Amino acid sequence: MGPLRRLLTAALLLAQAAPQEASQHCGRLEYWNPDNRCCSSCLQRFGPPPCPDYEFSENCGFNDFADHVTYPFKECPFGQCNPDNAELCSPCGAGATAPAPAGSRSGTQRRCREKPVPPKEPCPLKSGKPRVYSSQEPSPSAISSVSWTPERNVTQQALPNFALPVVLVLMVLVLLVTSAVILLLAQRCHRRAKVLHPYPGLVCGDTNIHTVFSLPSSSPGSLEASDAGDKVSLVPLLGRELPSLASQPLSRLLDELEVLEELIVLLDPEPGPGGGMARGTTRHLAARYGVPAAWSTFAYSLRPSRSPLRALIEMVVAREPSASLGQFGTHLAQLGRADALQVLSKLG
Amino acid sequence: FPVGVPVCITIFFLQGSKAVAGLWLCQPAPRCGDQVYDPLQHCCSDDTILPLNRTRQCGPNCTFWPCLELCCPESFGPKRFVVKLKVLGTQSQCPSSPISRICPSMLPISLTDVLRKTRRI
Repeated sequence: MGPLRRLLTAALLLAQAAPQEASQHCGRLEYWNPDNRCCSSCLQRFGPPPCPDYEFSENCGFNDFADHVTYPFKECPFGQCNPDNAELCSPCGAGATAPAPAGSRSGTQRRCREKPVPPKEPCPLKSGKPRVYSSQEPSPSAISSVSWTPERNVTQQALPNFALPVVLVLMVLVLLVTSAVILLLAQRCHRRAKVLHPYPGLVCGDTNIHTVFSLPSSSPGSLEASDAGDKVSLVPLLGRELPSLASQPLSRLLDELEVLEELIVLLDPEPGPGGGMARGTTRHLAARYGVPAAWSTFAYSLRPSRSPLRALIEMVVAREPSASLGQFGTHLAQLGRADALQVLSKLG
Repeated sequence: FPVGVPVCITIFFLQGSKAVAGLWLCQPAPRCGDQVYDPLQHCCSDDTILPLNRTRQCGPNCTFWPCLELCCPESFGPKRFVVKLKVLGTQSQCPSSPISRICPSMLPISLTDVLRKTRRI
């Protein structure tokens, strides 16, 4: 199957790289709005190209059904440059070229309502390293809580290119050392857990555990209270199951559908207005991961067609591929959800 | 939130299968460009009135709901299509919106396959 698989991959790559068909209604720098039946400006939709030597793709990546079929920006063709963030590239050294005529290809189509051109976004390729998130600008919206998106690349932006490999190597070494320390301490905790302490992670009292599992509290008294029965039942699970799960990625949970379904049944429901305080639901879990409450409210509004827990896990995995099942289990333990931990232990 | 026009629409609430002579709320209709729309059935996206269940392609391999989500193509660095959540009550933008999912770069998966995988069918 090897050669056949390679042939299939090559065919798929060629299909994805196939040039996009031009719009039947609008010019090169516009895209067709099928609902309003007018041509909208690419510049007014995306702003000018953020990076030098890039230009708008044909119809900025839209087809005539308003689907995004390709990326809005592409590199200049060979021999052309765009140092001034114009809409289109021009022959290098020849100065800016006039933009392509915005008229339609077949007759005159009306233009959609004019809108202000958005400001140019910072170029993600400035520091020579591509970034996941394309903007360093503060959010123009009123939601400051959305800015929880970690700006890890802020510190990396200022590093020269030659320092990047050094930083990566150091990070890998730190991770290896931390993992080794965690395993050793976890084994020690397991032995001590037989004394039935309620918070074995804190009994070990090692700051490394706090650091790696990102425990929000630093003293036993500030942890969420739960009844004695839950404390006792959590101990063997934390001591025995978490070490085996600590190194496994959280994304595994998305593949283990039966376990995920059970967790959804346990964690997603919230009591109605007449019920008491919910204890450790997906909403509380999201808060443990630093997700703003507005996101949780929105995720819950999509029920029942979309599970908030599944959406939360997908988002955490997308944001932090290194998120582990151990961290997930720790959050469940802190919420006092021994029932969910029991389900999670099936993955061990 | 779009500025209302001097057109008043009446919104009444039905509770389940029971017809209720309940609360009648009269408020200005939201605008989308030069038109007004019913927010219970439509949304406004890019000055376009869309039904709430409208879907569109975000890249060659996944779909999104333009009333609830943003399609954010990332042309630089690791090229990919990212679907992000619109936050109600604000003008959501790609740089500041939370991620919903990253579109796969493999063979396209139909919505049916996704739903079947999550056992929602």
